Amino acid sequence: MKKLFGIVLALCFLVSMVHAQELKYVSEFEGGKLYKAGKINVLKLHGSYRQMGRQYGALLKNDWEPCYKKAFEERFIGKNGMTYETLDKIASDYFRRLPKRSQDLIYGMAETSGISLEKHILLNTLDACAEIWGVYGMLATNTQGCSAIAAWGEYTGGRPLVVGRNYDYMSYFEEFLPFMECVVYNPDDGGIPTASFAFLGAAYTQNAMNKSGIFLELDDDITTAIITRHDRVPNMANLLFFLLDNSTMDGINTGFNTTLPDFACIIQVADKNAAYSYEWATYGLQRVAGRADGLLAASNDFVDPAWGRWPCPLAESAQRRENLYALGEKYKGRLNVDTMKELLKTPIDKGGATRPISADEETLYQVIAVPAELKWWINLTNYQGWTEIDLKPLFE
Amino acid sequence: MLLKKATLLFILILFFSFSISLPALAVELKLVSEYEGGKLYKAGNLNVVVLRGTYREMGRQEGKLLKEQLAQMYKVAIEETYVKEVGLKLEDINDTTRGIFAVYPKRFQDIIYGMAETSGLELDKLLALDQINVLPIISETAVHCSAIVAWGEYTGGGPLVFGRNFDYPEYYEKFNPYLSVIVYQPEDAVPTAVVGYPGGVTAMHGLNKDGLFMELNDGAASCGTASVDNRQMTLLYITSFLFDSSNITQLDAALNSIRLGLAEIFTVADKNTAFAYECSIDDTKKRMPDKDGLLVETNHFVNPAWNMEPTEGGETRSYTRYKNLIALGEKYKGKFNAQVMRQVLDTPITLGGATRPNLAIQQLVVVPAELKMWIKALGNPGWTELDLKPLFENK
Repeated sequence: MKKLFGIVLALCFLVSMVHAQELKYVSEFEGGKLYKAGKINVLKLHGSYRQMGRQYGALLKNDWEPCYKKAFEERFIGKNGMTYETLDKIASDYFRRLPKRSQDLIYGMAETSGISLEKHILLNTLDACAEIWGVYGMLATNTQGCSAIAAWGEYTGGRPLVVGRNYDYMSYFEEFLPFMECVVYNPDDGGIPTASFAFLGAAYTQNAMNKSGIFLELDDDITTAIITRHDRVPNMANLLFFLLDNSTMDGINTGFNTTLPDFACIIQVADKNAAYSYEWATYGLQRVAGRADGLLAASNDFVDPAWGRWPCPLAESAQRRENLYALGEKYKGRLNVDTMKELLKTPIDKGGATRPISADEETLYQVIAVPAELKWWINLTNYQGWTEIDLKPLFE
Repeated sequence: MLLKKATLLFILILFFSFSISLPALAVELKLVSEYEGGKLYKAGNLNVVVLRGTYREMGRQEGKLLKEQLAQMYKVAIEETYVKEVGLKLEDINDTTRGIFAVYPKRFQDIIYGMAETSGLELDKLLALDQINVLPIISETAVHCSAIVAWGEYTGGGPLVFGRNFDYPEYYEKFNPYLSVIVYQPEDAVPTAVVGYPGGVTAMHGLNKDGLFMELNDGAASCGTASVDNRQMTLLYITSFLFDSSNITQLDAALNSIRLGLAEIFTVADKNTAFAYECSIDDTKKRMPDKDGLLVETNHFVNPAWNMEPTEGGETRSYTRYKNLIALGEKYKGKFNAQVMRQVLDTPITLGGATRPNLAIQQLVVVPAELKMWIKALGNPGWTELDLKPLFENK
């Protein structure tokens, strides 16, 4: 009897571990709806890009000014010593290169949020700008983090493809984690409904999944020289449109092959069948299929032999990638959402790829996605543990 | 006496103008039919279609409004010309166009799916029509084109004026009775007019409501015909970039971000300035004007960063056309306007121009500031003036 009770208790515990965080309806505005998944805002937007921007602005009306104050006034200007003029110049340069659809989102936000367009243009670069600041030599450390692993086929024991990612960045970005949002765009022009997990006000993405079950995420690259092309469309805006415009992996592949980025990065793209890394330099592209059939890991250096040899030191990045491959082998046949959580819990010094909490740089958040189920799980360091979000009902 | 002199002078001026170039015909748009919010007009021999709504809805409107023209165009262009005359196999055409369509962004697929719903043509036939301008490349027929843009001192302070020759195989004259101006008014993008043949979401030239004009020239003279398969169809970018750009900065960013499957040259202008983008299969380099107020582009790369000598490109005579247009630019410095630009485009290579009378399938003169366009199609009489302003209004 005691044994049975123990089994039931264990089962209950397991069920609670994987149970979806129920979305709680909060409010709506002009057809857009705001839900909460724990402390994470989940927005379901609908209409033209301008209309979706308006809904976004109004639904999070209480967050805009606090986020701006915390990030720009208190942190970047107050603690980091940057000037408003410099920030404004960088953000305006970023904004002017955005396609009309992205700008329409921001114009829409500014109509209803209660803060100025200028502040929105700044907020739109909350983590994009930091990339640029690195180039401008304005960062104490030159941060290149992030890593990802995808498993399918034999590695999941025939279960659905699962992809996990670490978002590594400057540790002080923990202050901004309360302002990370799950935004679901349902454009009414025929575009493919797409969910993005990004900082408040970003008209771009570093983590996104569309209704056709294609997931992508961005890792920095340290292989090629750090050059930002200020005359190109920002990568992270293009990533969002790759998903809004394409329902197949072939379409996405064509998008990458035809588009040159503004800065070099490594993008992992997965659907229910396979995953690829796109090593995206400002002057070329290589697609990497993974080391084994069913396992792909990536960190921050290009691995395709077609690039040739690199002059810069890559050991730390290579180590994290090797660790992920080793963990993939360790969990071979058993990789699912739960084991992926375990895998992503493993710090670098214990054979993983996750950066521990530190004063300098750390793994700020993690995302696990199962494209076949249109679900993702999000873990925000020191803010909210793993939270499951079922995107199906949010896609129209 | 004074009156007689004035009359004589007027007659002389009139005669002189006519002897150089026929005046443009400012035609009245005649409404022909409507369907689900879309409208078909006639401007002389031109079809002018105004489409509204989602991409699927616009496709449905085009399919219905141009139903007859689509069927005739397929018969003349695909069956009679490409299959019978040029010798392409229909299976090859279908295989190629299906592959291209499969990776189209969804909004462009939606337009064609919409057409398939109302045109009475099956999807394969519409896909072939969409790639009408790609088929000569598949059949390895040389294509050319040239562009000249004048502004500032070259127009004497008048608005920027753009001249463009679309030089394609002679048999294209048979397609010109179906020449159409398609005006898209998407709910969520910049209203855009492209000039081409029914069924095409691809385009060789277009103008949007924010006064951005774009056109495409072949770049084989400098880079040969090597191609890469995994790239987006280049001819989609005219429509796509004009939809997504409200100003030349956005358009510039978009063009600097492309890597094409075939060497090409885009020339773009707004009301203030013009640039060219010379694209190899590896890189895109922006090209600045030749003079302050004058830009000429034919089929070879001019940007010195390519480190390439100017080339004739064999029978395309790219460098000759380039030099001729530069010379005409200087000849008319301070006097350029739409009328003068039409004269420039009416000047054949043999008389120091860039035009091949038998290959200049379509010619366009555009004044972006006024959203006006003059179109001349081989086989049709003279120039037709089209005011796009009212067609861009969402009425």
